Amino acid sequence: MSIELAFLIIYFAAMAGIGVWAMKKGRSDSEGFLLAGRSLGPGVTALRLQSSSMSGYMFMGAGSLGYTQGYFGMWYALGDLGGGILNLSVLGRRMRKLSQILGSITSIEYLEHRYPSKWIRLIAAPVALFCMFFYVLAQFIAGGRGLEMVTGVSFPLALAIAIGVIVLYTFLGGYLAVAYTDFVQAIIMVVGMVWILVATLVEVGGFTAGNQAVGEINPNLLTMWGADLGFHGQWGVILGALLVFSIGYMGWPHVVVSHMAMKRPSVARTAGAYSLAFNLLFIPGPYLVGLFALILLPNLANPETAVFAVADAVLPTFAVGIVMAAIMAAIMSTADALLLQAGTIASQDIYARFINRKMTDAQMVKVSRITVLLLAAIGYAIAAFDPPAVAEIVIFSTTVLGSAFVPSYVCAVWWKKANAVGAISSMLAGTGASVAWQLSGLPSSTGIDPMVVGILSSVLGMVVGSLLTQRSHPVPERITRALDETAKVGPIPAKMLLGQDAFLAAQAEVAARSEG
Amino acid sequence: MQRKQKWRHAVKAEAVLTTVLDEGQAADLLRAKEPRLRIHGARLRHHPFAGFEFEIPYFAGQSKRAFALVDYFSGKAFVTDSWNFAAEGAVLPNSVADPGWNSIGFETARGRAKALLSTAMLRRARLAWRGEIREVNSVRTVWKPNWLLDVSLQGRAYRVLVDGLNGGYFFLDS
Repeated sequence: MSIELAFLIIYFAAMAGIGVWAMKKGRSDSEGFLLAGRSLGPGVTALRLQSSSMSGYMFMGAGSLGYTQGYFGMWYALGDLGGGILNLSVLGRRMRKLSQILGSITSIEYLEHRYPSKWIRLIAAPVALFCMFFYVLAQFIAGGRGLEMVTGVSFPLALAIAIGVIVLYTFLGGYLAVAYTDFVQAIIMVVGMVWILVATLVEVGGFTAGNQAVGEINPNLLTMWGADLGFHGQWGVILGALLVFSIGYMGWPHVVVSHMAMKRPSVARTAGAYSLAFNLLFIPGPYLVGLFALILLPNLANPETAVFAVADAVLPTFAVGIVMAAIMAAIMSTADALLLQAGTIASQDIYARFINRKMTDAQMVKVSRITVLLLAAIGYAIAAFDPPAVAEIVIFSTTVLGSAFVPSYVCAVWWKKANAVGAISSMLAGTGASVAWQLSGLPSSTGIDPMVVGILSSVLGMVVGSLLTQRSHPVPERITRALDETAKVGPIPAKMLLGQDAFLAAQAEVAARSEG
Repeated sequence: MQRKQKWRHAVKAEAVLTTVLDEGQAADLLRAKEPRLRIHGARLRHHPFAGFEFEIPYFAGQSKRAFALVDYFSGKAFVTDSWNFAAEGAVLPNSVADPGWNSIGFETARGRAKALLSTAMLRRARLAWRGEIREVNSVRTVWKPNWLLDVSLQGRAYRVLVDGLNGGYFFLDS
């Protein structure tokens, strides 16, 4: 057994140990077990969220972009870093307030409440499932590639093991999926990534020397226009790269889902700062490691393995094992969250809504299990024989999801005339245009990214669909009144603004209204 | 084959949650955030929820109790701590009026509460969880206390809602 593999096993045993310890510790509290997250401090809250949102893309796709396109990859990193800020500052407040007023828990429910029509859920749920499948597929492939490197077995076998472990984790991971395992995992991930980056910089003689060496290989890599300057002036592509992980990411159901319980606002505020610090430390890492891998490992057969291969080359053997384990754990926790979310959409948004309105919770579990097993089987069938690139799949699925949903989310609060027909047209146009643009090969011939085409089509669908049907499908009066309340965003003292408890939004609006 | 559970429990008609923070504490809490804030008045307003207590099968044959409140006026369900009710007749709820945005009935609230707890359990226990949540107690209307405060800061007037249970706050129109 290799040392890396031994560390992988020790790592998971340690995580299981932490999980069992945390479970036993929480056993005495028989009533608050579902609210355990509420007692956590901001550091644990932020890092556990980050560990499940950082996916296989960061370790394979980002490294590959750095290796093949140089600093062009930084457009994606900038979008990723700026997305959270954009979401909070521009879109967040009104959207959160409306979702609270309408009582929405999931993103699809939010859309259905704002645009009351069964077609909203009927269209949104399959589109979300379709995109989530591709995102999960990327995690499967990343897991398989990682295991292939650590164990040396063939990719199809490594993929089967990785999918098997992920599915097993989705079924039995209750003991593992506690806050402290996610927290420890996030710490190891960020320490591991910074460690790989620092070791890489030491190996290449520092940042400046590294850039000079890369410039000698291909000076274009030091620009933000791609390896052959192919993206120079291609603002359609660059805009798409920026939008994918800033706007597009907002479309992901597992990102939009607001959680239950009444969280302490002060924790949420500080957790936001911790998340930003984590992102600043973590996100540029894989892109830079991928870039400098060109100096250390110029003949990589598969650029997607750049981060893994550099870690293997620059870190001590025991550290490779730990970092590999953290990477695998990150992939697993993301895949697990996505699979559970996909199961929930299939059971609650499709089965319970359209097939069996009296679904019991036992039936919900059964439908979720079947969905997860189906996704795993189809995922293996696709990935084992012709595995697509992780970066391509993640960017493609995020593009489709963003194109399908973001205009509907945004218009829901910013445009009173946005109605159900507009939202349906927007989702169909956004999905259809982005998929068709990608499949037709037009991005390379026109220099316009599918994200740009998708978002434009989606916005056009919303505007035209809504304006043409204002008389036949008016926005219900109760929704208009809720929007009026949402728009009442006064100049609240900055010191008090961030500390507000969003869960009180609906109660506050009702209390104010009842006083006149 | 799954045995159909035959259980019945009496649905309590109404209960008022004990107000944890008094008027002075609600005001102090806001002033602690912004000392220049001036408080001009406060009144207690009760918001109606449907309340449900469930028994949930957990790991290794254990079962746990969980509580959920569902907002009648927004339809939103929350997992909560166990409830502490005021003595009957001690407090007369000063209730808020229905805005009619997304009002729901008791049966819908029951479904929302079960769906929320099922989803929460699935996230916690993963797919090995077998389901079979059992409702053991319910209250048709649980009145939750909130303080509505008139405040001002640098000459500008605001209304602020302060949660009467945990001290969370939310600013209204200015």
